[in-house]
Amino acid sequence: MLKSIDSDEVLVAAALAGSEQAWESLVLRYETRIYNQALRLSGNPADALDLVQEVFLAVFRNLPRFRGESKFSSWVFRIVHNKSVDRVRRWQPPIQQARSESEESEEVEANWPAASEHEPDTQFAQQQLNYGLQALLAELPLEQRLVIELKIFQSLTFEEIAMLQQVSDNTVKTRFYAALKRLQTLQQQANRSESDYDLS
Amino acid sequence: MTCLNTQRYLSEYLGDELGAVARSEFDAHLATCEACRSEVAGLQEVSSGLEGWREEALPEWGAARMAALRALPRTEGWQGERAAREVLPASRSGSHWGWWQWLPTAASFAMLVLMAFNTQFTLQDSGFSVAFGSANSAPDAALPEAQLEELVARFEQRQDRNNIALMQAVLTQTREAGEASFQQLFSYFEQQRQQDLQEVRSSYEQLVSRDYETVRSLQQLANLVSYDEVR
Repeated sequence: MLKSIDSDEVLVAAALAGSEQAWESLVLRYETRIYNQALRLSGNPADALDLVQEVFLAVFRNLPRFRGESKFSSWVFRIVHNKSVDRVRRWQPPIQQARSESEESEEVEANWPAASEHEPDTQFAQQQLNYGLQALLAELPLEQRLVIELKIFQSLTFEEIAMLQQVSDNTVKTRFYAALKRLQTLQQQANRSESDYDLS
Repeated sequence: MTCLNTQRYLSEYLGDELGAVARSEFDAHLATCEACRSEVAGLQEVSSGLEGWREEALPEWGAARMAALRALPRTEGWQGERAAREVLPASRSGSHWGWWQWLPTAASFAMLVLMAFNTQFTLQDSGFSVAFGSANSAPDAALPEAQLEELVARFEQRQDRNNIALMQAVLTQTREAGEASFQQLFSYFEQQRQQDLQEVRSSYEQLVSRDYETVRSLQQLANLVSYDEVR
């Protein structure tokens, strides 16, 4: 089957043959996706951009070793995942450290997108929504955050996630369920706080 | 399906990975169990909320860093050839060192073996023979001294003739080369002389022409002056 002239595989081959333009096209194609993934995992743009830089450097230096056994996108996101695991441990958000339950609730209330009555019809509102999601995800332990990222945002199967994280399928499913439950709890706390505020 | 089973399959159901049969059983249970239905609806709401994420563009303050990443092949030096070699399958990489590249080594080794065993090839009317060691040197040693001297003398004469022929060839070539060089030099000087003469002649003609014009101008001036005086 003929490959499209701008398919990842063709661009990778051209880049390896020395085409600067092909490399640039690959970066342009993936930079936003990787940045958004990094943003969800790190919770702030500066760390996200650091991760993007680290990922592309790794991709650039390891591209000659890319054998084409998997899709290029899968290979890139595997690098993102591995780099994230390294970096996210350093990113552990300060909001998780030594905070009282009430403080946590207040922050969740402020960030949970469902608490907003207004539809995000502007870029600013969308950014606020994203910011809320970032803050929520930051409440999850690293393992659960990664499973949510890979399952919900990267649409990987439980089996693929299990292989990537080198754990069993059941462990991944448990983490997924636990993550959703945790987020649900945070949402309920936020809604309760909102109700209390309205009553007072 | 019971509530216990529902819990077991919840992740797969929410992750859309439950098989068709199990899914229909799951749905059937949800239709009859309020608790499970509520549980699933709550978690689905969470999942949908996460999917509300909209892709954000990279921040403008990061544009320079991204530009640097896009320019990596220029700044870090894209080693395309090296890269291409590294992605070649192992079998193809192996063929890079072809069998024919071993030939010089093999030939050298064969020569070494032949020398080590003092191998001698003798060409005869009936073919050739190969001998190892110094066994064949005995008959040579047995040659009469007079015959040997004669052979040496003939060899020296032949060498002398060769040397004389060589010297003559060298001298002839040197002489021819010298003549050719001299002729070349002579023709160059002659050409240069002709060129100089030509230039001198043209300069002289220009000078004469200019003098002529000067004289004519003077005459015109004199005529003008004399005309004014007459008036």
